[in-house]
Amino acid sequence: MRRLIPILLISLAGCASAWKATYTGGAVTSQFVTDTHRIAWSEPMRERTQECNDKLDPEVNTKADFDACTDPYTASGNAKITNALRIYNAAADVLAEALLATDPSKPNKAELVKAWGDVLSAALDLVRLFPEAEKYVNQLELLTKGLGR
Amino acid sequence: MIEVIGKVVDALLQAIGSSIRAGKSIREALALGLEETAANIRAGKLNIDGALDRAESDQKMIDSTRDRFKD
Repeated sequence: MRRLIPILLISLAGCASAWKATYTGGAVTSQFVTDTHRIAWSEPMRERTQECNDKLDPEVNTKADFDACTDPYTASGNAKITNALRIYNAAADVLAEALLATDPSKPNKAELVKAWGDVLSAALDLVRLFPEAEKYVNQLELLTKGLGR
Repeated sequence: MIEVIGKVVDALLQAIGSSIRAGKSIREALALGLEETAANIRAGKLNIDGALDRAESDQKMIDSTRDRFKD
C-alpha cells in the first residue's frame, strides 16, 4: 500500500488537469483531516476523559489533577484543535468556491494552487497539534506529494 | 494510520474500478473517478463540518467533566 499510494496519486496528477488535480487533492485532504481528527484525537480523548472521570474523586481532586490525568488530551488542547478545524474549514470553503468559479478548460492555476496551498497549510497546522504529530505530517505530505504539492 | 490513507485511495480505486467493469477505458474510468470527486465537492463535501461538530461536542463533554472538579 505504501508504494501504491504515491504511484496512484502521481498517475492521477499526470492524467488530470491542474483543476482536476486540485479537486482531487482537496477531497483527499478533507478526508484525511476528518479521519485523522477522529482516530488520532477525538476517540482517544473521549476515552481518556472517561477514564479520568472514573478514576478521580471530584470531592478531593482539582481541575489541575484532571488536566494532568487527561494529558495530552486536555480541554485546552481540544479548544486549540477546534479552532484549527475552523481555520481549515474556512480555507476549504475558499478552495471550493475557487473550484466552482473556475472554468475547467481555462483554469486559473495560480488561484487554485494558492487556495489549495492554504488548505494544506491549515491541514498541517491541525495535524501538528495531534499527539505523534510528526507521523501525521509525514502521512499528509506523502498523500499529497503526488498531486503536485 | 495507513488505513486512513488506504480508505481514501480505496474510494478512488472503487470509483475507477466500477467504471472499468462497466466497459470504460482506463483513461475514461480515471476521468469518471475524478468527476465523482468533483461532484462531491460541488455537493459541499470539501468542508469538514462533521469533524467540527464532533470537536465542539467533544469540547462540551470535556468541559462539563472538568467542571466537576475543584478549582
